[in-house]
Amino acid sequence: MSESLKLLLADARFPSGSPAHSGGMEAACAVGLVTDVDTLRSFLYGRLWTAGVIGAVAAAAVCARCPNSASPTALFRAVEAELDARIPSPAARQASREQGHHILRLAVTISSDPLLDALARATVGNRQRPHYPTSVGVVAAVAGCTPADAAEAAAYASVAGPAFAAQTLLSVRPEVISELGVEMAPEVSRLAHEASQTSMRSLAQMPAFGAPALEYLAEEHVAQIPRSFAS
Amino acid sequence: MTGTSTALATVRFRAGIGGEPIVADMSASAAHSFQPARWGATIVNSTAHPVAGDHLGLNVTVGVGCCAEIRSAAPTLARRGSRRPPWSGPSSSTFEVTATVASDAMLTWHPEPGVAADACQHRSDANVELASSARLLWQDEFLLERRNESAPGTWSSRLRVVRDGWPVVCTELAVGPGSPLWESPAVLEGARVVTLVVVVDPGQVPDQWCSARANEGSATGVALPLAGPGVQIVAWGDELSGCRATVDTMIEACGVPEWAAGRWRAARDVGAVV
Repeated sequence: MSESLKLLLADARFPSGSPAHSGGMEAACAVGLVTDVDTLRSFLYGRLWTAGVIGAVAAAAVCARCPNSASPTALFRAVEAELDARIPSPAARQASREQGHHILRLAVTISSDPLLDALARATVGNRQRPHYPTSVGVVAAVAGCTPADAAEAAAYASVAGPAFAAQTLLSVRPEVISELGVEMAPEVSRLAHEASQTSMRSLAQMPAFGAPALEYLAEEHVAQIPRSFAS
Repeated sequence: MTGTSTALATVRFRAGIGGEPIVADMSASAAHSFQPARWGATIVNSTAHPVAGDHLGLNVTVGVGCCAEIRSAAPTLARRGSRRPPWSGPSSSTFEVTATVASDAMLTWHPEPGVAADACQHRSDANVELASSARLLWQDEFLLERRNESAPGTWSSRLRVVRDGWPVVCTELAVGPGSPLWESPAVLEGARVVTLVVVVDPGQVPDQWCSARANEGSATGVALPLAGPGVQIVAWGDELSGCRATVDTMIEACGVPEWAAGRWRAARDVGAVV
């Protein structure tokens, strides 16, 4: 049950809005940082171990804690603040919040779980949309998935979107992207497993690996016209 | 002097007339001492530290209404330690800074750069706690020593700034082959030098912060308005001068208040050339 839900959550056709985001890939191709399969691979590993780790650990932390939390609203606000502090780029924060909003909106139409209401109150009440990892963590918890599942969905999403965007942007054959996916899959799973192991540690101690080039690209992307992706 | 040590040095400022910093209390350690000045204090660092196995700490407290600056007398050179064979156990050194800044107080932190030399594994960890009305200018520069005779070291640096109990900045950057991500085009593109500047000023109108990008020489930089009242500026490249010039350009463009821009320029001009 939980395996299929995880697949659904990570599916590119799941209407989370994620296929619209390239996670900096469009700008990376435009400025010449990513030009071939080697630079693409290095870019994706860099993204996985920075933004991917932050998202995976936050999603696992939310999933592990919210079912037993005395105040889910306080938990969500604390996680959102930790994510804001780890995503210095306003454009990247907005991209994360747009995707989080899509997932939460979709989940609310399927389930009436009070945790979903609590997340909506913690963020919408604050005139904000929830960050992507927070939404994934809550939806995973509501669906009965494990923290490792939530981490895996978030880690996978951190590289799958940019990888599929690169297929169009670099005009490479789909097999090349799938081959890269197969190569990176064990790393994504290992990362998700490690993230779930640390999910009950203090939120302040969550990883905070910065990626200045990704942040530069997120801002560059907003200034770039025309563009085919939302981030 | 190559023995390893665990040492903590502390300094506490209180406000004199007009917020002038007065050292209320200070203690030196084997690795660090403080030399008080009109504007704050200079850290005098021992050239013997840090080497692998060192766990060094600095503790700074800025009292209510006080305006203090911390500089350092020389760059911090992290080494593995000459008497330490590569097979002799854990080979990392750590440096932990905690700073507390009270209401209406201001801290400017601009030490000389950290230099990763001689295959060192150095980790620096700074935790800053601000009262809701406190202001901060934090500068963190680190680079790889350019020498061919020894393997390059790795320097990683984490900064966490908490304001009124809520995190404002939490970031970790690393240069050197010990960091698996350093060379990725998504992270630091294998840059030799990183300059990080964080400004927090709750008195600034929120709309005045804006994002900026710049390239000077080999350096690339981006200034990012935070979710809280502040900005994070990062420049990375092969030369310290290029990174500093990039930060200069961005400081002009991203809405940094004049007190912080002026202090950044003053510190940059007295800084040693590494």
